[in-house]
Amino acid sequence: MRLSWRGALMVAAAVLCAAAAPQAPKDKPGRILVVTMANLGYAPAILTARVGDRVAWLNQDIFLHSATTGDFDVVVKPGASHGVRLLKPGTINYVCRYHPGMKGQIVVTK
Amino acid sequence: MLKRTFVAAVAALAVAGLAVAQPGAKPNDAQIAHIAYTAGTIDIAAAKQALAKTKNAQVRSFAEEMVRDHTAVNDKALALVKKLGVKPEDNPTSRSLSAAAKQKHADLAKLSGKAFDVAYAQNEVAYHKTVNGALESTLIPGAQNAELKSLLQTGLKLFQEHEQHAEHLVTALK
Repeated sequence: MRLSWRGALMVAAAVLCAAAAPQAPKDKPGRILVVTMANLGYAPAILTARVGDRVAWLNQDIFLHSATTGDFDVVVKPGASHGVRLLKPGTINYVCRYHPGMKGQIVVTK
Repeated sequence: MLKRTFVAAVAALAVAGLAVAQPGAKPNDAQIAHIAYTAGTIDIAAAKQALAKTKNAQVRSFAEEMVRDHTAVNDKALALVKKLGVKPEDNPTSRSLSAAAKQKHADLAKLSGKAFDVAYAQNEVAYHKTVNGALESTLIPGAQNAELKSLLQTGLKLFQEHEQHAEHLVTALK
């Protein structure tokens, strides 16, 4: 996925935010994976990740969105980004709590 | 064909008790922009009424969403018409929408508590359903400007989300 400078800066900010999340092992810094919120959907809708990776949601819509599940509730304002670090393997199904038709999935492997 | 779909959409609005416009002419972009903007404004007003009356957390959350989302779309619509140099034109459909909304506002004002919450949520389902029908059958196909068409398509997707959300709310309130 190609990111503009603005997008890259926003993702960097999301990563800083994600640093506030519980820490994964230090020897596995993980990757930064971007999920775009646009046109009332997530892209990619299904994301494959590994433990230690960070997911940053980048809101390109004009609406407030979230990525909400039992484990986290990431609210992202229009034009902003925010993220979490993935700490355990498993399948995470999440929705936008403001627009429940928006559904996403993260498959986290070890 | 467009003329026929506009008549059908107006008829659908009339059946839903939301508008009884004069059929016969297909709307131009300036009129379409006005209808879409009016539809958003009406839903914002309904949500503000709900926020003033309800004590139900789910209804409040839904109403806040309506204010936030429709304001975002309307702001975008205003910016677009300004950019295009188009002046939104008042028209029979917009006027009928506003008149019907005024009546519905008065009806809802007489209710309180759960009766209000249920009536508001049910009206939100019906209203979004009707506007979605008009967007799909008339407004989007009729829009000539690509940016306006695109904004209307975003509006349709949003309204469909809201319709679904309103249906969930109706179920939750039972």
